[in-house]
Amino acid sequence: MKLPIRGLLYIVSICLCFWYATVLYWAQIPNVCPEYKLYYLDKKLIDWPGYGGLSYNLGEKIFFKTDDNGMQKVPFRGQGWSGIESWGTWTIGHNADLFFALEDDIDSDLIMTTKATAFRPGGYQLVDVSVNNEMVGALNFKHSEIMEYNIKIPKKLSTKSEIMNINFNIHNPASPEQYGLSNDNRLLGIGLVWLQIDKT
Amino acid sequence: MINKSLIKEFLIVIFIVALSRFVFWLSALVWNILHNSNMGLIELLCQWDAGWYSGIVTNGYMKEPSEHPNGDAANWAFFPLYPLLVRFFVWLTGLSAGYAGVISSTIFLVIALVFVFRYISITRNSCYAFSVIVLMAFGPYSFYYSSLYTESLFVALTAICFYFLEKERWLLCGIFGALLSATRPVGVFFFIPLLLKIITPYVIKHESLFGTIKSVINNEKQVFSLLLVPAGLFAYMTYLYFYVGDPFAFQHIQISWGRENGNPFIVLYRGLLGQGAFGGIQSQYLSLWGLLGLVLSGYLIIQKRYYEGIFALFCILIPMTSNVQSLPRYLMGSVVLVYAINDILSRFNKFKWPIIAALSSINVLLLFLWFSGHLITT
Repeated sequence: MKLPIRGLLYIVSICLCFWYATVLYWAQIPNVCPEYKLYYLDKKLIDWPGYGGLSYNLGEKIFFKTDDNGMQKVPFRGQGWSGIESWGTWTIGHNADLFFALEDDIDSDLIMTTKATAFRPGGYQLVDVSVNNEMVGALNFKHSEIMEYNIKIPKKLSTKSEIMNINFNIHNPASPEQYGLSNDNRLLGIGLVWLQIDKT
Repeated sequence: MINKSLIKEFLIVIFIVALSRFVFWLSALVWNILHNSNMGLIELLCQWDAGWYSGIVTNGYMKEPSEHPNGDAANWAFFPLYPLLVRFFVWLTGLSAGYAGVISSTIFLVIALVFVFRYISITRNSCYAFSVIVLMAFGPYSFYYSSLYTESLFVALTAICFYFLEKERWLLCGIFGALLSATRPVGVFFFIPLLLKIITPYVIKHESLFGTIKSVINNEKQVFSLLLVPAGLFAYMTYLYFYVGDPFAFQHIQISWGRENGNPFIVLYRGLLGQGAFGGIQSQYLSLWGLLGLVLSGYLIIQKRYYEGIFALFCILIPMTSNVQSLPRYLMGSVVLVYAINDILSRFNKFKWPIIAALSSINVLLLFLWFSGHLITT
């Protein structure tokens, strides 16, 4: 009787090892949605968008200002954004990211339009725009003027249901404090009022 | 004869627990009079995370995070064994989650104290045993043992694990160790004292590392018990993988409580300077409990109570990797650190009971703060 129990304990022990190894393997390849991955695992999103919260339909305008209820949540924002204000949102530092999961079939190039301003007293704020780590162009945002800017996104960089990462690389972020305008020490770059991606 | 002594210990524990909970009831009565309110003891005892446990007991685990102002919190951070047992108690009695939680927690406390009494009686002496159960029933933050929190179950399972560790009942160590790791994440660290206890005789016999490993592997009960301890944790991770898709969801969801892992000593140092998440005196107060936990762990190790000391160290260090919140609860809820407090008090026999009386009085004050939902009691 003793031998079978001894053998059984060894067999169960081996099974336990196998089970633990399997779970640890699963931990390396979590089966989660893009929102979960970006927010909880990669920590790239500021706000939790909810499952499917990064879904974006072409032509939809995303506002970067507080809504009528004063709510301050723009689910697409990655790192590099300041708090949402009543008019829009400033970028902070050199880089600001946005993440989208496009819901439409992409059969042509896309165009990104944004209504925005910049902080660069007496001049322009130069910003490189990249999509999925590939630079698609540069925009020159005029200081303190809210205007519309466009940039083309090649078709090859946008795939349905996959996450599209738009990165703004701000060349000369500066704070109002540096210019003696106020005691605001945030390194401001551009301020977005809204942004839209659509077919050309 | 054994049964007689067990019955005697059981009756002592029941009497002490009943008396201490009567003090809680009186405190609730006074609190209601002072606040001109009419809240029940159960309602007053179930604060903070009790709401999370109540949610799990009633509705199970959330499919998607939606709690907290940012909507990013989910109840996956709370391990399943305790809410499962309370849910069973609800099914058995038809009581609400709050009532079932408070009653079952108090039952776990009784079980814990019986095993604490037995364990201390064999590792110290019965004089030590009586004071430690009084300290746990009446001492600071003892209200956690009767709230809808995991503490009393964790304490009970830890006490049982260490009791069987002392008795070298390997299979029972493995089984209760597995339950411990299904109760709170730090429970899995019982693996380390168990491993040390198993290898110590081989090391004393001056066996080589290879010889020690070979000797352990040759003992099927030791191998099996060691491997069984993490089973509770891995069972929950397996559940989370199939339910959420992420075996470490219990850890990753901590971001919504502002908990991110760092160096525990830096977290403690910043807390002592009043720079923690809560700032000022509250962080300093909570950090002092963390410091006390480290000192007591060190004391246990110096006293050559290595198994207790190492487990205590993990119980206090792991929560400290994120912030200093809840450190008093983790200290009192580790049970082995209460043993250390009791050991130190017992060295100064003249002052032991006055100090225990003073600590019990502090608990009444903390209980009032708990009823008010004060941050230092979370």
